[in-house]
Order: sequence, then structure tokens, then C-alpha cells
Amino acid sequence: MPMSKMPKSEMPSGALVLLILRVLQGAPLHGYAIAQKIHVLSAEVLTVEEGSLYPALQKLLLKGWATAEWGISETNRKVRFYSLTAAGRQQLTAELEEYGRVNGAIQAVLRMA
Amino acid sequence: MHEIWRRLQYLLQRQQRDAELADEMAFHREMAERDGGPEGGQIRLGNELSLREQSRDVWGWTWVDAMLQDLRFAARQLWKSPGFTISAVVMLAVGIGVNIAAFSFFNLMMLRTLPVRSPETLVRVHRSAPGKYWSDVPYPAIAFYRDHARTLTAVLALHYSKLTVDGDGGSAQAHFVSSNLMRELGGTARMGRVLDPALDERSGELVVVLGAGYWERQFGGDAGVVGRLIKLNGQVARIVGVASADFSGLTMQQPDLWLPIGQKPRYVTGSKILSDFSASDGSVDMWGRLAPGTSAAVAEQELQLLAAELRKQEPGSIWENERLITEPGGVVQNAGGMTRASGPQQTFREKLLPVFALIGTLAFLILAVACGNLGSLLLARGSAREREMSIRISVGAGSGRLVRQLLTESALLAGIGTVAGVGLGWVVLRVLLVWTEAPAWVNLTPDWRVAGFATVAGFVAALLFGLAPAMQIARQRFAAMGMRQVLIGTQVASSCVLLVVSGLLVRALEKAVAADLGFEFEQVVAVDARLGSHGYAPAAAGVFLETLKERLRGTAGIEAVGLSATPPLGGRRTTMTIEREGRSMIASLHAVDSGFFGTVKIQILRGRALERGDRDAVVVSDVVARFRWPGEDALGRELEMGDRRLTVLGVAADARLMAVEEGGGGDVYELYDERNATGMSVLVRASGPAEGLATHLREVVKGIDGQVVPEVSLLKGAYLRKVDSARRSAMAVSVMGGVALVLACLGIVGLVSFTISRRMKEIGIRIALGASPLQVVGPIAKRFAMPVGIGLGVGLMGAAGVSALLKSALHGVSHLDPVAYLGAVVVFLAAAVAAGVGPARRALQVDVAGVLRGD
Repeated sequence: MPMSKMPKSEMPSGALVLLILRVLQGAPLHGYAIAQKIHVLSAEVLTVEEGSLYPALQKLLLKGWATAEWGISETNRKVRFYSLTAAGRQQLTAELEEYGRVNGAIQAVLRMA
Repeated sequence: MHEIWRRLQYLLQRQQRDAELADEMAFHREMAERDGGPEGGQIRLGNELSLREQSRDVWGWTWVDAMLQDLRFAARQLWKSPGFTISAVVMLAVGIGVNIAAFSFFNLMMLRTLPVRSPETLVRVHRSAPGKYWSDVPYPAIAFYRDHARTLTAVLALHYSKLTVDGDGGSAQAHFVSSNLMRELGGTARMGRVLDPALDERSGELVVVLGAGYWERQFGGDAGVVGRLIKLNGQVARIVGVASADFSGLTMQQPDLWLPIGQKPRYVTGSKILSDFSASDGSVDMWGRLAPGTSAAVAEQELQLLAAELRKQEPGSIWENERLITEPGGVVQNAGGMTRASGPQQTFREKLLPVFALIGTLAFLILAVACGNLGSLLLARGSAREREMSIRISVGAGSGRLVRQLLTESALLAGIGTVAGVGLGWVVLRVLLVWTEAPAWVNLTPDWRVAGFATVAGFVAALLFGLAPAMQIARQRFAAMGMRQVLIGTQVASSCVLLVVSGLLVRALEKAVAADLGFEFEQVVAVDARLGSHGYAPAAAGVFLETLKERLRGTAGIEAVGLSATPPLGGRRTTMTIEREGRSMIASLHAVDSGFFGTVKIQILRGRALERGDRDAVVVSDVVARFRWPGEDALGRELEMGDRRLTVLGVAADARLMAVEEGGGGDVYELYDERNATGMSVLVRASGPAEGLATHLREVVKGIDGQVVPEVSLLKGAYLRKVDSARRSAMAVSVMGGVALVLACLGIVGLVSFTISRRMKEIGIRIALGASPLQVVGPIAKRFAMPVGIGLGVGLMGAAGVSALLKSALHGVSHLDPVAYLGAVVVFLAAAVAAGVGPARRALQVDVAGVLRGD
């Protein structure tokens, strides 16, 4: 069953974690805000599904890249805010580097072939 | 590492964390709804649970919830059918309990250390050299090693003896030990003190510590006993303490008295135990405590060097290339046994191994029978749950999920059964220990090994009985007769093995009791004057023995008198190895006098008996002659013994002198060396019952030398003790066989009833059409003939294999004894038929009209 009426762009696997880490780099956000921010920043190309967002957030908690704290949302409701840990920042740097490397390689192939 | 920690944390808080997640996702939906985004809440609502589950899956604990769910369901299922549950648990408890008891016993004897201080650093020391072995070490050598060994922080010595106690005239089991033994082992006193090297010699008095059991028996547990005097062997000794009942010492024996070995010569006038390297005054066993960080191998090396050093001083006593070999010392040891042999020996523990292999096999067979039964029970239950399973499959339960559910049920059953089995095993062992009069310190509390074994046994059982039925149910093949027949066959085979083995043991016992041992023991009394212990020189001992023989010969009621260094059926044994073309035979070597053969009535088949003055000459038993010179005449041949050559003067009839059950070993007789006269026992044959003779014999000995305290024992008594142990093992195995038979019969009853209940309609029709009872039962019986037949066949073959382990305990009964095998088959068939009759009769009395109308 399609979740969205708009044509949906598939998120490359593994990229979601990278995006979440990057989005959290600025300030702590709650889950919905993370999804929104990615959606908006990608000019509404990328849509983060609930079914992939929350498992990804749990993975961040499990790996110790992020911690969750209870806070108050803009609608005045109690909600969990995720913030990066030191390990999370390291992971972000590492993933960014890796992404840059792979991306450069892919670009190179696309240009030359 | 941190990740595992976070995972565990999640496991502990998972309900709270799940709630948090639910709340968070609800917020997400609220926001999405508010924003009116395309992913509006309604569509998602149905997926909420599965979405949450996906997130939880990240933590990897979902299986815990699934398992808990399965367990709860299984518990409800079992609770709903208490009849099934109780019979299954009882069956399992028996199967597992017997195994746990057997393993605990093995654990106790072979694995578990004694309750002494740091048992793992204790080693038992034996002497060994090419062609020679002694289980004991002469005390002066022990003292030398104690003074010089750096790899041993302590050396312990133990010498078994008996002392007469004045007052009640009885004798007491005495352990003469190195003074440090009790303290070194962490032994405590119930009152007073234990032996102590610092205190024992201070007062100059003889000191004794009472064993806890002896104190209770002889002193009625009198609290004022410490400080009192007691007369032992005519000497006054002061009781300085009572040992705690928890103190095990190093053997299973529970001595009446603990005494310092240094004081032995004061009880036994002239005893040379402290200085005599030939150890003619009884054996001293040696233990050592390894220095911290030292291995037994290193200690052995040092001891070997020390032995070589000592040989320079005592060339005649320490053997060439003598090695001192060690074995773990902090475990149960054979008490009081002494082996001196002309070849390498199996240690006590090595000898026990086949016994445990047999016990283990039998116990496992009982478990197999129990599991077979349970399997049938579960199958029968499976068909009763046919509807339930069909429904669950049709609403979409995968067969993997069903199998998991059913296995969980089996595992739960196995868990309950194991717990019950541990309890039952404990009771069985308890009874066993009381029955064998085991010491009070024996600790029955299951340790980690027993717990581990129980878990494995339970797990194996759950797999054995749970898997096959589960697979069948999941595959929807409820009629599964084939599986049932395999199960019945297994049970029949297993119980058949047990029946045959118990049959064999009973036969062996019969034979042992009825057997002609080949010599006269009913009316023979052994008198051990222990002249060596009393400081007799060999020459004086010779005179003493001659005087004693002379006086006894003149006594009315005494028919014959002879001498032997190793009285028949006693604990002392000297062996030699006879070799021919690479095969060897262990023979007992007996140093005797010319009167020996006549006294115990051993027939000389060829040649002649030994006569006074025969030098370098022997009489061999028939089996030795046939082994060494098959098909030839042994007379006049030479037998090699070390570097000596002995001429065979005669061949004696085979006699089982050393053990009732012994088979295969032979005997070699030699005139005793007068230099060894101090170690000789006098054998006296009475003309009537021997019981009345003992007092008279003591008096005669006293009449020659008032100092000498002889040990007088009836050979019949030793014989009865030996038969008794055989009787015990036969009985234990018979009980096991009986249990297996009952279990197997229960299985057959269940199976027959089940088959009949499924074919009620057919039976009803047959009866309605006028079939005779035989025609009704016949086809059903036929279905069982095959599995029972095959099971019996396999069982008989298995029994032939297993009973080979038993050979030494069979008293010469062949392990393929046809009577035992036939007996087992007859007993089994009778039991099986009896088990089938009840359900069959019920089938014939069926209400035909009711059955045909039903369904």
C-alpha cells in the first residue's frame, strides 16, 4: 500500500543514518522534526518513513551515537529530543569521509565512462 | 562492550522503553496529522504495533518475548491436562533421577575432592621401578623425602592398624598418621584437640584422638571424655580430643582412633615401622602437599633424584631406577589396600572406570526407556490435539512456529522433570550411602558438575522425546504408527539389556554362593600374630611359629595347621607376572609352609606338594601350568621370577584364594623364606564349626608370649563380606532392570490402549459380525509383534556388548550365559503380554451399539 501520493524517492540504504547524524549536528531534535528537516532540506525529494526513522533512531541509541532526553515540543507536548554524543560526532565525520570517497569515485566513473 | 551493556539495560527496562517508543510515535502521528501531510495517521493505525516491533527488533530481544509467550502458553496447556503432566513428569523424574544418582556417585568417587584443605595440591605417592610396583612407601624413606623435598611443603604418612582396647576386649581400627596430617588437612576437633606435632610429644604421654563415630558408639557421646585415659594394647594413652565428624581424612575408612605414627613402637613392643626399609611391619601410605606453583611432574622429578640419593645409603632397600609416581591425592582413595607387584599396576581409580562405564550405560538405558514412553505419550496427546493444530495451521501459524511451541512444551516438561529428577536422584543416593554405610562427611549437595549434568540430561531428554512428535504434529501426520513402533522397539531393546544384565549378575551371585572356591574355608581360621609389629627377629619368629603349630596340633578339635604370608580371602596380596610369547598373566604368589595345602585342602593334581627344605621350587595352579606350558607337562619345568629360576614340583587344582569373583588369575606357591617369618599367618582348620575356636587360639598365643596380640579371623567371615558386596551390586542392577521393565510395560499398556481406542469402530463392527475374541485381538497383536521382536533382538545383541564390561564381576559365569538371556526374554514377553491383556479385554467388552452409533 503506497504511503504517499507523491512519487517517492528511495533513500539509498545506509544514507539515512548519515542524514540523521548530520541533521542532529546542529541542535537536539525530536523524531518528527528530524523527518521534517530532512524532507525540507532535500527540497521535499526525500521522505523519511516512520517505519525506517524509528528503527534508525533506536540503532543510534544502541550504538551510543545519540542520546535521548525528554523535552517539550513546540506544541507543548512531552517528547524525546535526540542529541549527538562524542561517539556520534566521530561517526558522522567518518561517514562523511567515506561518503565523499565513494561519491567521488562514482562521479569519476560517471564522468569518464 | 558498551553496546552489550546498553543492550542488557534495554532488556531490563524493555517495558518502559517500549512505552516511551509508543508515546514518541504517537506524537509523530499527531504532528503529521496536524501538518495534514500525505502520511495521515489513519492509514498507519493498523500498522502501529508492527512498526514498533521493527524498532524494537534493533535491540535484538524480540525472541525473549516470543519465548516467554511460548512458555506461558505451554504452562497453561500442561496445567489443563494434569493427568498427562503428572505421568510425564514422573516418568522423566525416574529416567533423569537414576542418571543423576549414577553421575553423582561417579562425581563423588572420581571427580569430587575430599573436604580437606586445598585438596588440589595433594598428591598420593607410589613406588615404581621397571618390573616393580609398591602402593606404599617405607616410613624411613618417607621421613627422608619429608626432610629433603623442596617441591613438597608437607609430607603425610598413614598406616592402618588394629589395636585391642582393654576393658571391652574389642579391637579398634587405628590410623597411625604423621602428626601433621590432621592439621595439614584442616581437620578440626569436635572437642579437645587434633593431633599436633608441637604438642603430641611434649608430655611424654601416649596421645590418641577418637574418631567421631567411635566416640558415639563406645563412649555414648560423653562430653567429659577428653583428658581421660584409655588402655590400648595394654598401654595407657590419654584421649586428647575427638575428631569432628566432618573430617574425612584421605580415605573412605572411618578410623576409630587417630594416633601419631611416631608412638607406634610404644604400643607394639619392638615395632620397627619407623626404621625398617623392608616394611615388614605393615604398609605406610604417603601423600605430599605440592609447594605453591609446583606441578606434580616437577615433584616427581625431585623425588626421583632423592630416591637415587637415598639408594646410596640404602642400596638394598631402594630399587634401581626407582621412581616415585604421583596421582591426585585429594580424592577418595582405596583404604587399607596394599599392592606390591612385579609389574605396572592399575591404580584404584583406573580399576573403577569400567564399573562406572557399566553403571552409566545402564542408567542411560533407563532414560531411553523413559523417553520412549514419553514420546508415545506425546504422540497420543498429539492426536488428541489434532483439531487444535489444524485450526492453528489454518489461521496461519507456520510449521516452524508450531514446532517451536511444541518443543517449548517439551522443554518445560523436561525442566520440571529434571528438577524432580534431581530430588529423586538425591534420595536414591542417600539410600545408597546409608546402605553402604558411607561416612558422615560425604557431601551430597549437588555441585556445579551435578547441576551441569542434570541440565544436559534434561536437555537431551527433551530433544529425545520432544522432537519427533513435534515434527510429526507439525507435518500433520497424526496416525504416525511407524514412529510409535520405533519408540516401542527402543523401549523393548533398552529394558531387554537391563534385564539380561541383572539376570547375569543374579546368576553370577548364585554361582558365587554355591561355588566351590577350590579350597576349604568354612572351618578355617587365620591367626595373624603380627610378630613383625611386635619386634620379633626372623629367627625368633620362626621359633614362635613352630611352637604355636606344635601346641595347636595337639589340641582337640583342630585337624590341621599351616602357614601363609597371604591368608586366603584376606586383603594382602603379592603378585607376579608370568609371560609367554608376549602375553602375560597376573598370578598371586603365596609364601606358604608344607602344611598349607593340607590345611586348606587344595588338591595336588600332579607331582607333589612342597616339603620342608625345597629350595627354588614352586607348585603352580593348573591354570598357570596350562598358560605357561600349554599341552606340555609342567613338572620339572622352570618358572622365571625376576632373576630367579624356580623348578615346578607339582600342579595344584585351581582355587580362588584371593577373591570370590576372580576369574583367570592363577596362583604360584613357594615355601616361605625364613627371613620373612615375621609376616606369616597361621591357618587352622577345625574339625567342627570354627566359631568357637577364636578364644582358644588367642589364649594359646598368649601362652607363648603374653605381649603378642594376635588378630584372629574366620575365613568364612571374609567370604561372606565378599559375597555380600556382589549381592549388593546384583540387587542394585535388578532394581534398575525392574524399573525399566515397569516403564516399558507402562509404554505397552499405553500403546495398546491407544491403538484400540483408535480402532474402536472396526472392533465394534467385527464383534457385531460375530468375530471370535481371537479374531478381534489377533490383528492388533500382530502390529506389536514386529517392533517387540526387533527390539528384543537388538536388546539381546546390545546386552552381549554391554555385559562384556562385566566379565570381572561375573564370578566365571560367561557373559553370554544362555540362562540369563532366555530368562530375560521370557520375563519380558510375559510382562508384555500381561501389559497388553488389560486393554485388550476392555476392547472385547466394548459396547458395540454405542460405538457404532457414535461419530
